[in-house]
Order: sequence, then C-alpha cells, then structure tokens
Amino acid sequence: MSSSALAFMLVSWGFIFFLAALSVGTILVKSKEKR
Amino acid sequence: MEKRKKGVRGEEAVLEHSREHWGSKLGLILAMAGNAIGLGNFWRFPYQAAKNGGGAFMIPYFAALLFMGIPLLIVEWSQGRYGGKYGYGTIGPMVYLQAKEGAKKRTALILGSLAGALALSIVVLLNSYYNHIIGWTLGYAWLTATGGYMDSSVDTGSYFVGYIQNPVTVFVFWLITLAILWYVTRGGIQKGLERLAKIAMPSIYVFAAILLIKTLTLGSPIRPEWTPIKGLDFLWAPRWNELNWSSTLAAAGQIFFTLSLGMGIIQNYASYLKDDDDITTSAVATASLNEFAEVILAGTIVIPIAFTFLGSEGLKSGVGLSFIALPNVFRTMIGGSLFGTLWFLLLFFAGITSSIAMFNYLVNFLEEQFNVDRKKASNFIFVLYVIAGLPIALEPILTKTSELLYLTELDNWVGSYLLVVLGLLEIISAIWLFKNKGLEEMNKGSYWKIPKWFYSVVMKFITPAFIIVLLVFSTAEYVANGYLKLIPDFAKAYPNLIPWVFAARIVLISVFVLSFIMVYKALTKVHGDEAGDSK
Repeated sequence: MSSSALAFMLVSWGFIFFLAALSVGTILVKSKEKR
Repeated sequence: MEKRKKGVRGEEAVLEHSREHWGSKLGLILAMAGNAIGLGNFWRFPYQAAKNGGGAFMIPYFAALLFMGIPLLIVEWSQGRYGGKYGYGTIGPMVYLQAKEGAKKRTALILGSLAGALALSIVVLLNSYYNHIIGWTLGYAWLTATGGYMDSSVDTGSYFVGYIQNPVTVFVFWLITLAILWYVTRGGIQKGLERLAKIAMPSIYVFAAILLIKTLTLGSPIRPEWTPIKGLDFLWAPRWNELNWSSTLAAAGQIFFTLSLGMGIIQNYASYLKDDDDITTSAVATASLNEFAEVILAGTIVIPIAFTFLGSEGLKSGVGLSFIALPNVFRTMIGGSLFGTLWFLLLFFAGITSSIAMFNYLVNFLEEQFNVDRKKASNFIFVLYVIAGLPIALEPILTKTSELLYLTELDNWVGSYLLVVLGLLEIISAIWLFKNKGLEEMNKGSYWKIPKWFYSVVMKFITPAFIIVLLVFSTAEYVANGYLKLIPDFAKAYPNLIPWVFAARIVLISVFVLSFIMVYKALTKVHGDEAGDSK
C-alpha cells in the first residue's frame, strides 16, 4: 500500500473515530449527570 | 390518539403528553443510525469513492459532511422535535409552523404543502422500489445459503436476470419484507421500531466486522498482484486528476443520500423526542455511526474483496457489484456460502432499518391526518406498498427484460433530485424564515450548543449554498443526460419499454398532486383561519 493511500485512509478513519468518540462519549457522560 | 387543539388567535396549544417517545437514548441513536445506514452505504459509497479520485474524493466528501450534511441533519432533528411538540410527525405542518414566523401565512401554507407533498411522494415511491431491493437481498441470502448460484457454470449476470423475471422469487421475498415492516410498525415506537433497531444495528456491525476480518485475510487466491491490501490502495490512493466538479458533486450527493436527508424521515423520528432532549450531539453521533459503517466498514470490505478476486476490472460494475460481481466471489472463496449469506443479511438489515422509517412516516401521516389508529394505518400502508410496488415487480416479469426502466425513472426523481429540493425547503423554513428562533430551538436541551457565528455563517449561508449548487449542477446534469426529454436518452434503446417510463411519470405526478391536495387541505383545516388573517 502506498504511503499516500495509507495516510488518506488513516486520516479519514481517525476523523470518524474522533467524531464518534467525542459525540458518543459526551452523550454517555451527560446522560449519567442528568440521572 | 393525538388531539390537536387551537388556542386564542389561532395559535396551537403545545401537546405535552399524548405522543409516544423513544424509550432510551441508546434506542434512539440506534434507530436514527439505522434510518441513515442503508443499502447505499455498502454498495454506493465504495463505488463512488473508487470511481471519483480515491483518497482525493474524501476531501470534498468530508467538506460536504461538515458544511452541508451535519448542519442539515441538525436542522432536520430540530424541525422534527419542534413539530412533535405540537403533535405532528410529518413535514408539511412542521415547515408551515416554522415558515409562518417569517413569511405570510399563505406563503407558509404553500411551502408546508409543497414540502409535505414532496416528502409523501418520496416515501411512497422511493420505498416502492427500495422494498424490492431489500427483498432481493433477502432472496440472495437464502440462495447463497442454499447454494442457488454456487455452481461455477452459472453466469451470475444471467442468474440475476432470471431472479428478477421469476415471479415466485420476486413476490415471496418482497412480501416477506413488507410483512416484517408491517409487523414491526404495528408495534409502535418503543416496542416496534426501537426493538428492531436494537437487534438489526448490532447485527450489521457484527456481520461487517466478520466480513472485514475475512477480507483482510484473503491473501491472493487468484493472482499474486490481486490482494486485499492492493484493493485498499486502489480505494485510498489519491488520484488528483480525477478530482473535478463532477467528483465534488458526487461527494456532496453521496453525503445527502447516505444521511437520509431531504426525505422527512429524520424529522419523523425526531418528532418522538421529548421537548428538552439533546439534538446536536445525538445528530453528530448518528452521523458518525453512519460514517463508520460507510467509510470504515464498507470501504474495507467491498472494494478489497472484489479487487482480490476480480481485479480492477471487477470494480466497474457499479451497483451491480452486489448482485452480480460479489456472488462470483462468494462461490470462489473458501466458506463463501457462509460469508455470502452474512453479506446479504447485512444488506437486508441495513435496508430494512431505513425502509421502516419511510413506512412509519406514512403510518404517522394517516394517524395525524385521518385519526386512524396505528394498527389500521399499518394495514393500509402494507396494501399501499403492495400496489405501489407491483409495477416494479411486473416490468421484468411481463416484458422478459432486465433494464428496470420504471424503477430507473422513479429513482432519477424521488431517489435523488427531489431530496435536494426538499432539503432546500427545509433550510428555507427552519433557518431563514424561523430566524434566530431556529438557533434557540436547536440549542434547547442540547449537550453541545451551536455558536451564533456557526449558525449565522455556516447554517444560514454555506449549507444552503452547498444545496443550491448541488441542485443547479444536478439540473444541468439531468438536462445533459436527457432525463427531461419526452423520451429520456436512457430509454431510447428500448422502445418496447417506453410505456413503463411514461407510467412512472404518470404515477409520480399523480402521487405528487394528490399528496399536495391532501397536505394543503389538512393544513387549511387546522390553520386556515390564520392564513386568512394575513390576507
């Protein structure tokens, strides 16, 4: 796999993981606080 | 049953308790993610990315996600929760209620009727063929498990043609699909839709994870240079020369369709939220789950698996990849029967969790407009989808062809173009006409607050600009492709099938006009006095 392809894949995956972790994490923490 | 009552000066009293709500946050997020994750995630994205520049495609793709997809998704969540507060689950009254804040009541009435008619046309007609495709996935799961096409002497292309021309396979699996939709929707939000999402969504991720591991450990069974890693390289290597207006529009279009925007079904699900439930963070969470399924799972399964067995030539079959190219792969690979069945079941679950949202939209429409209870409404919608789906089934069976021109003509409008039109109407009502109340509404109860600058710059201007550009260029593309001609270019080669194109147009126009009249009448019945006041 070329380094540019790997870079594009990892950055894209990283961005999605970041968005998912941030949003789902916030929901979990805030839901607990609400309870 | 919901009852709507009017207060003094025609303003509606807020309904506080009669509408069913989601049972849990997890159920809501899974149902919304299921709503968004559909067949397109698994067969459309990998093909679009590979065709439009590979890694370079991801730049316009993420730009469209951040500046158009997520903002519009938040608008739809907010619009839905706002409508639900007044006892509405369909988009016509929602658009009306927001538009009347900044426009003349009569204009709001027209906007609401237009939006409501578009949404009704989309959920009736799009689902009329989407249910068939889900039926095909279920049929292929069965055939893969029982060895239907596993004999290597069978041509998978001809096999698929035989499948759609066989009334038994087509009707059995289509009616099973409709029966599941009917049964689940009768159960209501918590015991029906939410329960389905809690089973189907984890199944999708588990099946995809199994397929992903299998894909990455395939080695090079056909040719040394055809490996899954080379397939990933083909998908992700940036090809800058392929990045142009056309690929940028393809990226924006993909974001629109993958998030199920411009259909009214996100609003419908959001209408079952409580008035102070979070919107912004939940919308981003569902978008992320959708992107995870699309970019990470589908991207790592579909292209590498097809590349390993068929090379780059095998990727050219586009959406035929699922039913023609991949069956070729499954009968070649070790354990192909098991993995093929998992693949088609994954597609089935992805499809049915989206289709149920359209089914529920119509059930909700009957509930709120005609005071029909949920069970009776579900029976009626089941019959409606049987009638609406008949031409899709009958065209290949009666004509012994496989071009599916009735489906193609419908898909050109309700499966793509009209979604963008409805998306624009939503922005006009929820942002431009609802003004700063829109920001207050979105931030109410939300864990993440949208900053005023983001609302004023991105949501007010950049998102609509994205949608308008998409609409203008889509129109130009439709003209160039001859879709607007009396006999569209794609039908010219099949003169015997032209009546099916005309039939699709007649059905589309009739459904739209009928929907407009129904929504307009329903709106004037409740809000007619207000509209009259503003003359």
